[in-house]
Amino acid sequence: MKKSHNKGTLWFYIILVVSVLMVNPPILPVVNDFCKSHPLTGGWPTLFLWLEFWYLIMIIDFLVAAIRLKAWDCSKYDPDIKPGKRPKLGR
Amino acid sequence: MNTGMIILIVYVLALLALAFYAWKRDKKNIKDFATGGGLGIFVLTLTFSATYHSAYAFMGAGGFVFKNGIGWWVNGLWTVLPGVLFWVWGRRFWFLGKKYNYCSVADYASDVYQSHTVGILVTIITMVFTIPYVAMQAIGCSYIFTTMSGGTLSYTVGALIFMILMIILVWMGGMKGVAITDAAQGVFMWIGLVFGSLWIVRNNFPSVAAAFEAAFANNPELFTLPGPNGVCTMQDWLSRWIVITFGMMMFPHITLRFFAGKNLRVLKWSAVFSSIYLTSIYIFTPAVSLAGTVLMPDIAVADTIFPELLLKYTPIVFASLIISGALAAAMSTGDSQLHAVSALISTDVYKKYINKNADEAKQYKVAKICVLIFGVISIIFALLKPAMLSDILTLSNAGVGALVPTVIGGLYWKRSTKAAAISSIIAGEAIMVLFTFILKVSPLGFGAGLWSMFVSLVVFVTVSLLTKPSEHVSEVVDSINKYFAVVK
Repeated sequence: MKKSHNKGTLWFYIILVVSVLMVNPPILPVVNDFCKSHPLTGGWPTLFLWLEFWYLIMIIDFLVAAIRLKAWDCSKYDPDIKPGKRPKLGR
Repeated sequence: MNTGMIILIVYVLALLALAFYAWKRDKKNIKDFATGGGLGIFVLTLTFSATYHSAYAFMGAGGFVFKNGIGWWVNGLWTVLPGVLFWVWGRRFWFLGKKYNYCSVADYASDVYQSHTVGILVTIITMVFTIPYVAMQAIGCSYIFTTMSGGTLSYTVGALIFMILMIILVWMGGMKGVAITDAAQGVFMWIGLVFGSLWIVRNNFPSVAAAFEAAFANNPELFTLPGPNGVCTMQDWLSRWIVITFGMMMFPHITLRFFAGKNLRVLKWSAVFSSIYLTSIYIFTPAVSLAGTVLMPDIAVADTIFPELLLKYTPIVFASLIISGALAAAMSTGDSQLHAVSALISTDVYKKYINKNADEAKQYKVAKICVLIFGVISIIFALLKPAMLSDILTLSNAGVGALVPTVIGGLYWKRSTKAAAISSIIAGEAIMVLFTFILKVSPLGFGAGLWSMFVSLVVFVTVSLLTKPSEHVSEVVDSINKYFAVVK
C-alpha cells in the first residue's frame, strides 16, 4: 500500500478517536458542568447539541473517508477471490 | 374494531405479501436462507439499520429519555460507530466468507481457531442471549397492540400475535425475505419516528425549542447528567456505549449481514448510509420524550410514552400509520433474530455435529423448524415481562460482549490462539453471570458487561502470549492483510 493511503487512513482514525474522546470522560464531565449553568442553547439542550456536533463530525469523517480514501477504493481490490483450503477441525 | 387496528392489520398483510413474494423467489437452500445470496446497497443498508434498531428505537429510547433525561444520547455513539464497524470489520468477514465459504461467525471462529469447542461456545452464547432480545421485540409489540386496541387486546395476546407473524415471515422468506421486508420497514420506521415526533411537538408547542423549554421548567435535572434518578453516571455512560456498540456486532442477526453484501462497494456504502440512518432517526426523540414529561407526566409504563402521545395528540389515521412504524421496528429485528439463530443452529450445530451428510435442502428444513422452536422459547420469556426495554438491551449485549476479543482477535492478530479464545470466552461469561445474577453488583459503578469484556480481553491477550501460535490463524490474517493491501 502506498504511503499516502496510510496517511489518509490515519487521519480518518485520528478524527474518529478525537470525536469519541470529546463525548466521553474526562471531557464529558467538564461539558456536563458547563451545561448545569447553561442548560439550553437556542432553546435546545446544550449537552444534546455538544454530543450531536461530535456525532456529526464522526459521520462526516466516515463519509469523506469512504469517498476519498484510496485504501477504501473497492475497485482496487481483486474481484476474483481464490477459495482457500479449510483444514479438518480438531476438538 | 377501531381505525387504528384496521390500519395495523393492513400493514401486517402488506408485509406478509412481501414475504410471500420473497418466498416465491426463494431458492430453498441453506446458503441462500442464511446469507440472502448477495444484497444491494439499498436493501443491505435498510436491513442492517432496521435490524439494528428494534422496539427499543420506538419505545425503549423514548421511555429512557422520559425517565432519565438527555443522558440517553450516549445512544448516539452506538448508532454512529456500528456503521464504521460494519465496514472496518465487515469487509474482513466478507472477504473470509468468499475465500473460506463461511456463512456465520461461529463457522468462522471454529475454523480460524481450528476448534469445535470455540464454535460451539460462540453458537451457544449468541443463541442464549438472542432469546431475551427477541423477547424484547415481543414486549414492544405487545405494548403496541394493547395501546392501539385501547386495552381490548391483552399483553399476552399481543405477544402471541407478534410471534406468529415473526414465524410466518421467517418461514416464508429466509434471509432475502427478511431483508426485503426489513427494507420496507426501515423506510417506514424512519418516517414514523422523525415525522411522528415532530408532529406531536408542533401540535403542542410553537417550536421544538419551546418544548424543551417547557420540559426544563418542569424538571431541569433531565437536561444534565446523571439525570433525575441518578442513572446516567459516567460509569454507566462508558458501560452502555462500549458494551452495546461492540456487543451488538456479535449478534448473529448482525454478523450474518457481514456476509450478505453483493460486493465490497455495497458493503462500504451500506455502512456509511447505516451510520447516517441510525443516528438521524433519533433527531426529535429527546424533544418528544421530554415534551411527554409535560404532556403526560403520570404515564404508567414509560416505554409506551411515544405511542400514547401519538394516539392522544395526532389524528388516529396518522398515529396508526406511525405506530405501524413501531411495529416495523420490532418485527424487522425480531424476524432477523429468529432467522439468524435458526440459520446458526442448522449450519453450525446440525450440519457439523448431528447429521454431517445433510444436504442443503435438509439444512434448510432444519432451520425452519428451529424458527418455530426459538419463536416459542422467546415468547415464553416475553410473557414473564422481565424488565424495561433498555435494561434487556444492555443485558443481551453484555452477554455477547465476551466474544469480542475472540472474534476480532482472529481477524487481526496472528498470535491469537485456540486456548486464548476458549479461556477468554469462559472467563468473560463467568464474570458477567457472577456480577449480574449472583452477586448483583456493579464494581466501581461499571456495568457487568464492561467488566466481562475487559476480563475476556485481558485473558485473551495473556493466554495468547503464553501459548503456541496457530498456523491457520496466521494464514487467515495474512490472507486478509494481503487482499486489502493490494493496489492495482
